[in-house]
Amino acid sequence: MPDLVIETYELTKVFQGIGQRIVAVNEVSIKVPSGVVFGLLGPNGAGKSTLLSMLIGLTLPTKGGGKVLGYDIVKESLEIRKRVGILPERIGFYEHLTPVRNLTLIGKLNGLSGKELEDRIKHVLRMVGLSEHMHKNVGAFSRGMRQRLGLACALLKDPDLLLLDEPTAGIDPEGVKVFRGLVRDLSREGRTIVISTHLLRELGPLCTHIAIMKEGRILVQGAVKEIFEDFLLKRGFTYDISLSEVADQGIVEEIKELGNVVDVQLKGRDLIVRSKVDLGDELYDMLTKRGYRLRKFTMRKPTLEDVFLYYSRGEGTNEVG
Amino acid sequence: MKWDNIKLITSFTFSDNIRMKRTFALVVLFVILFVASMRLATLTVLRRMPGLPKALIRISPQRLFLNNLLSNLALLLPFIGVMFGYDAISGEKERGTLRMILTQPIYRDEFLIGKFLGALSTIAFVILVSQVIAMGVSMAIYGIGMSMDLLWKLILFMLFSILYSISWYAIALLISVISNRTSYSALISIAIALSIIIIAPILVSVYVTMVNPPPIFTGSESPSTRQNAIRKWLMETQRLRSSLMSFSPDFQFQRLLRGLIGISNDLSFQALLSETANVLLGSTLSLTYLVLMALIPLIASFMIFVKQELK
Repeated sequence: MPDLVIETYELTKVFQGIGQRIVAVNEVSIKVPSGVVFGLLGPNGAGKSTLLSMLIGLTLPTKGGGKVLGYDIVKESLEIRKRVGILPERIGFYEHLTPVRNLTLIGKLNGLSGKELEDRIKHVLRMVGLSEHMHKNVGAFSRGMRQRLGLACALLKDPDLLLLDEPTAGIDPEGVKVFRGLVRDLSREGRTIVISTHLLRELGPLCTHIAIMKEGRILVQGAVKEIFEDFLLKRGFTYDISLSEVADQGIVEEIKELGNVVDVQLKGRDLIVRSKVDLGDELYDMLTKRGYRLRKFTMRKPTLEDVFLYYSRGEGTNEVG
Repeated sequence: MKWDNIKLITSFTFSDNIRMKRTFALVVLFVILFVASMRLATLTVLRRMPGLPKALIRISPQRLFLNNLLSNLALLLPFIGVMFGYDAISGEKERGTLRMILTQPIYRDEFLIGKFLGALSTIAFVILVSQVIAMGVSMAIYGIGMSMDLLWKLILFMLFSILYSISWYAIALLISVISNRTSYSALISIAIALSIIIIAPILVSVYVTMVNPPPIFTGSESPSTRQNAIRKWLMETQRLRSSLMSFSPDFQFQRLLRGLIGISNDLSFQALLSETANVLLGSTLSLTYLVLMALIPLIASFMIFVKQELK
């Protein structure tokens, strides 16, 4: 498997309608390393699904190109679909058939047959926790069960790369939890997983790498750790401190003298300090030397939402790490 | 193109169609129509009824049966095609199953050919099974014997019925490819079928009557003059009607099959084949028209579907 399982360059998709022109994906260049959980994050309409559709040849790019597992996304899309497990957004099944019948069709399209196909179907249904429901018609399935069946479809060919488009949209919290567990297990098996989602809180924590998309463009991409470090360096650090007694105004001036401090707010016993660089150690030393007992001393951890909002305002750079 | 994929989609579509209640309902409806046509034709008592027009008495029960059958088929076959075609693609889009299939290693043309062959085999199955059942029922109930020429004509009826039905399937398939919703494609397909089968003949009749009104007599004409004027008017009406309706697949289908009904009875098999060939050669235009009616929407469906954006 190549080091980069997905690589695109200036991938662009323009939808032409009557009297309208929509740039769904705008010169997107992404790189997905092998073995990572890659989150393609962004609001609805950001172009995530169109991007994934182009990667598997369902939609042809207007401009640019790319490779998936070393295969050209335009000329060799069939080879890509042979090797990549895909869970499309709004997947549907033949409702009057059982999961086994649905999976048999998918398996046969992927060249599986006989005992091998039977065994694979049993295996993937066990993996996604649907073994008990294998003889029920899909029409009776909940949304969460359907998504798990969709994942079973994607896993049937035992792929090294999985593309999951909005896999938890519309699923109840219990279903999301189950889904997250499944993705973690698959990741531990060494598979590369690309998850496209607008639900940053639900699936963001699973990702080792992310790309944030908005209005067809990639705002930032890279390893999550590096993006957060970059965010902190650019956006600054915030400390929430609670003292055991009410402090005087002098402390505010003393903190400012530490340098690189942007803002200090004192409300009774509570202090909020914002700085350009990490001042955690210096702040702690200074306050304890002054004789304050600290009831609380925490550095605010940025969330993916913070990162998304920061970059979507155009304050960050395009690539990190 | 991979034949295995086409075979898989064909057999899947066929088994899916066969399981549908509408397929069962169609077979039942067909059997009823066949048996009813047969029953009507076997009312030989008509021959003995006094005062019956001579022309009707001259019609053989076989010809009467085939004519009845043709009228019923002409009305029913378009809806069979529409029934299997209107949701062929739009239904898959609406249910999300098209996405599930097309994200697998299959080309779109393989999928569409598979869908088409699946529908073709279902339509052939419905027509064949219903004919066999109906003939069995008719033989058992009415004691009708099967002659070689009737069997031959029924086989030809079946083949051209499939072709005719497929041309309607192709129209419905094209609408289904363009549309994203089954309700729209059903509505448009049915509207087209109704317009061509029911509304167009009425409008054509009204128009023909307007441009070619019946002759008016003063009362002083001789009976032969009146007869000639009426004959001339009827012939002109027929000519106008034929030329205006020639665009209609329904008209071409009926024209083709009426030619087949006219093949003489009690011929040897070789003579039957030769007369059939003559009738088909004489109906090349109708036959070509029906083939084109199936091919053009099919090719258009392929061209659109292969390049269609699936957002």
